[in-house]
Amino acid sequence: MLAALPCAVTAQGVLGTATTTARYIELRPIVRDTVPLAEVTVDGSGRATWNGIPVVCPAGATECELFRAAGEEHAVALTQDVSFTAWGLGVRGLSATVQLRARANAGGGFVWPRTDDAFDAMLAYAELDRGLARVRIGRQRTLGGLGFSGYDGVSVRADPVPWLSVEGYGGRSLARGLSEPRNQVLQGLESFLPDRSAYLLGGSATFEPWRGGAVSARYQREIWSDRSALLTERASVEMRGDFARGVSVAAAADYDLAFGRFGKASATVRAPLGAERKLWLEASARHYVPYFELWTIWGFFNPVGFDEAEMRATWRPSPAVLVRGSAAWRRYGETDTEVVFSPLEDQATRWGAGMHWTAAPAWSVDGSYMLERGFGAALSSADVAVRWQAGARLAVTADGSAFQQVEEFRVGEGTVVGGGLGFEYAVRGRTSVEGGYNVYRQTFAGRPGLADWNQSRGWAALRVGFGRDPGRGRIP
Amino acid sequence: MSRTRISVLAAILLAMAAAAVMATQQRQEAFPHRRHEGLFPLCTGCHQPEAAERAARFPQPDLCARCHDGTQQRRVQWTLTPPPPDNLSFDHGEHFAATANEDTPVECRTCHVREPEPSMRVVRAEGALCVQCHAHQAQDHTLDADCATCHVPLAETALPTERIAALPRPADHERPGFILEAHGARAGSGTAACSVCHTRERCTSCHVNAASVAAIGEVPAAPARLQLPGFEAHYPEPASHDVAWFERTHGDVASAGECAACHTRESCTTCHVGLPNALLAALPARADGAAPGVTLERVAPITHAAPGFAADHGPLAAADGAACSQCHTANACADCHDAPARPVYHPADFTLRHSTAAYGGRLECSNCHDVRVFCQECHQKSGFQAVGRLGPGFHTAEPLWLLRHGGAARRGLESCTTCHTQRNCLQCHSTLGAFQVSPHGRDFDARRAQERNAAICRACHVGDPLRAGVREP
Repeated sequence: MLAALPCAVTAQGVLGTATTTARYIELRPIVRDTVPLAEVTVDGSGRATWNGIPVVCPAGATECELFRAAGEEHAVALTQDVSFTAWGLGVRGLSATVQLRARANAGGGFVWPRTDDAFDAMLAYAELDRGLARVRIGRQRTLGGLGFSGYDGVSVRADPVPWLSVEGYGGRSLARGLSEPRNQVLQGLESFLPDRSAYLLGGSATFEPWRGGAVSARYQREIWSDRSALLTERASVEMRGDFARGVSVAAAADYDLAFGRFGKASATVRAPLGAERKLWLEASARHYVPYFELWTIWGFFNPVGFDEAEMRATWRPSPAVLVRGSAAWRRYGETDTEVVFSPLEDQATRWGAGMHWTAAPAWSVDGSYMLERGFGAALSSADVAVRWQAGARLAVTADGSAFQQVEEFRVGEGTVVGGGLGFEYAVRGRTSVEGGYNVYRQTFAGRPGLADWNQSRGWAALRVGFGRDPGRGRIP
Repeated sequence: MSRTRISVLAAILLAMAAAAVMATQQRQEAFPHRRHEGLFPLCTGCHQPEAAERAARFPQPDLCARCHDGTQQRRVQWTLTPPPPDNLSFDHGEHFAATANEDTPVECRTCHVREPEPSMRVVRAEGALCVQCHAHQAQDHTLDADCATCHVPLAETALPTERIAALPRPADHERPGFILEAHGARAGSGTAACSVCHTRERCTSCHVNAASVAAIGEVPAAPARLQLPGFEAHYPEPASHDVAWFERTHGDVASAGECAACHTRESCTTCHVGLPNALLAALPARADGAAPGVTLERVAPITHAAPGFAADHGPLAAADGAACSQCHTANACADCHDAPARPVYHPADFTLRHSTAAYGGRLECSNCHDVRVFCQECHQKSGFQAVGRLGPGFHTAEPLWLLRHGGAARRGLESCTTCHTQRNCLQCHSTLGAFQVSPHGRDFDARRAQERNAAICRACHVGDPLRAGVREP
């Protein structure tokens, strides 16, 4: 297929990529184990084994339970992606877009998620664009304030005037984040999932009051094929605007019509300071609450979200140096639950800083640090990467990282340092090979974590770009 | 006589013969006016300055033979040699005729003698003399004079490459903005002046649309004999391109007439994908041997340089997806959002440290991953999967986790679902469960939810919960 597809359609105008990837993932799962009560010690933070692993001792039991790191496992995941868009198929405005993925588990006792799904057609649609109207038929996805929604069906977009675009779409709904109907891909994984497909229906209107500004509204619902119940019913509004002096604004909000409550919302303002635009500031506000489809019970649990404000800045004092920084503060909503012993932390902060330095035309260094403290887990991490452009074709990157992570709801913490080497080699044209290998080592520092984060990662990829835009060269 | 001496003598004789030949040739080329100073009081004794043909302006060889007949004077051989190549357009006769009736008519010595030298001290005329009359008020004759008055188009000359390269460069050519703002207007008002120093090749070396520009067609092309100096296409960036949001607004102001001077279709397709042919056809395609046109690099708009763009571009894309599709095919979204196999978006060690991002919602995992298939599957295989037991189990830091988990669950419900199935929770949160704890929050609209999906209500409730009454949380 790889060999045949590009050749067959090149003359018609094709732009595509074929990527073959192999990944090696080393993991240390955890397993439940027991230890005699007599061997358990008690310290200030609770019961633990002699070497500090926390244990749970049921009342009256002679054995205590614990989690410990199991033996090393690994996975080798192979993936073949082919994606292309072909134009000029003999009819003016006709094009075809395809994205295919084949996967295989090529070894190891650990099956990496999704590698047991051998093939996915993520996109496969034909498009007829006649300027005032555009029709797509096939497997496609709609993108909007409600995220990605995949479906097998038809979409029709009309642009009656330059400042207005209206779209309607519908078809067989695909599972969110997957490329298959729910009843096929999730069957057996979840309770309460009907064995029937679902339909997706939606529409959107985009109003462009001025060049660089747009407001879009969208309504979308999904319903089981027997029309017995809704899966989702949501609406969203988004806007973006570019203003004078480089100021830009983007905002979005969505509303869950099924539960009658607001979902996610965000607004970001970005502006340069100074005539030379060396300093850019970005301020954003965000409300986040997870969304669950109606066929699960999770949405009925009334998840609460958080409000977050964040400031980001990038400063380029010279063409070779870019400094970036960010600070965010978050507050969680009221959970309306009973407080036992002590309330949960309801605020969180995140700090980040980084710098990119092009030390020489062939050398660059990128470093960053992030400190995140809040609900569920805390992280302090530092990353550094040195990139050497060894000629026009070869680039070598050495990277290192160190992080300390503390998990709030279980005794889990660890400090991990790691590093590795990667390379990118442009074979010719748009054909390139890349790969890398990283090793991570946990420093237990006197207190073992439940899991063992001593792990390795490796990957290699062959990326072949083929075809070219039909606009190049002679126009038929 | 030794052989060596014979060789030396032969070499000397050969050198003398060569010198004699060269001396003769020199005499043929340059008439020794000064040696004949006493013989010819008037230039017109030998020259006919008003003659149209150059050959006629010079004496014929038999005129020399009247004295140099081998008896009175030694014989000489003089023939008129071709003039060195130049780009002048000068008519001797016209100048004589035009000034014949003036108080100071143009004479030979006007141009060929530097006053107060005697008449036979002739020199070649210099361009400065022309300017004295033809551009006498000019600050710079390359700017203020009509070039064609004195010069022929470069294409009609036989100037060698070095002289073409050394042609004087008018001062206005050095001014900032000359190429972008001035040269087009000058050429548009007439190309005669341009053609004096340039051939059409100079235009076509930069203009990708040269074939369709009338003014360029008026500039004579260089004949094969003319070896032009090499020059590279030069494309200065217009000020109009250096404005905020140019990458967004250039489509409004783009016109085939203006853009096509420097840009080929490749300029568009460097960034844009799938532009309609009607738009692309307005620009010429890059062709071998033609001007290369501006070479662009695909540079992301400034919005993409925002520190958090990778994570926060959703609203931009949602509000104006058409803007994205100007440069990206649908595959570009899938490169990241379809859980790529390569470490494109997440760092290589992300699996180790993703807890904070997942709990805190810094990265919205479900934008790309299905929690059940991706997260739960991996957690299950890694031993993090819930076993459905009502004990603290995995949450080792919370001895009374069962009592305390409500708040954490409402805040981090998405994280909970990466290990727990729905049935885990229904052990308690169901009318059939152990404790029948209602999971519904304060603002839960039961009727609204039931109207949209009554089936899921029955996952926890026996019968119609609204009719039976719902327990408060």
